[in-house]
Amino acid sequence: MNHDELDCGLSQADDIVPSSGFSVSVMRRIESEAGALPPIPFPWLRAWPGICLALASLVLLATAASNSRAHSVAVPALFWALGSALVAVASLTLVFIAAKRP
Amino acid sequence: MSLTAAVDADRLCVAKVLAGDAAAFEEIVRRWQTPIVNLAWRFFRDRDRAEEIAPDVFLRAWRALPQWRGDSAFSTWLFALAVNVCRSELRRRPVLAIPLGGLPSAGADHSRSGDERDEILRRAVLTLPEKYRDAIVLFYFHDKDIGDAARTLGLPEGTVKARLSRARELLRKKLTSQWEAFR
Repeated sequence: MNHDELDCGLSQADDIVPSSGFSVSVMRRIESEAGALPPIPFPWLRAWPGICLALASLVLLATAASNSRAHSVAVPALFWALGSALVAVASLTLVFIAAKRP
Repeated sequence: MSLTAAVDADRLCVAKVLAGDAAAFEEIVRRWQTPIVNLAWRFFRDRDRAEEIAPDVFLRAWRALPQWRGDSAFSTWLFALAVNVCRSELRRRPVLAIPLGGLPSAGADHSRSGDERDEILRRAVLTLPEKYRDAIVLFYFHDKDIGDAARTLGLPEGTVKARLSRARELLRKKLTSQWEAFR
């Protein structure tokens, strides 16, 4: 088997013709992709207040917890802590609702 | 259509698609469907698989169209993308090798035809290591134009020449005994 035989064998064109509906089926896929709605971006503008409130509540909660340990004044500190925890949960719920809405 | 006209038509279509005219992509599909299906056919030697992979090539081209910088011909970019898709698919699901010994021999009742011999040769190409297989497939796909093959592979021409030479050597070793059966 020499170079020419190999070259000749590989040069023989045995091309195929795409089936008749090929381009139509490709375009159908393209059009469905083009028509698909882009992913909804996260609504940062609406979520920011909730995020800030959540963070502030968590800081208050941490402060209250450390104060109650330091001064052993359990009752007011606990109220603070509970209040902050509630605000944190409410804020996170707000963030969740903001993210869910289109 | 001349080569320059085809290049200009591709650029125009791409510009239209990027401007939001999705239907303009159909002209690209119609112009390049035969070469892309045939490129896949050369990688798989299986019509169904070639026609299954080719739409993926166009779909990926559609998605990646904004990344085509226009510094090379659109066809070069499209063929390079097609080669990547075929490579990935072959890594995922390799072509089933038909044992050469399983084919009827020349000493049997009927002699092997030239077509059969060529088919054995083409299938042997698919059993080569990836870099040699790709060089051979693209060299013959581009009508033996080293420059086009090199551009599609994104390699220097010298590298493609070296790989072709090594690929032919491997094919000769692999097929010499089978080839003798045709004489």
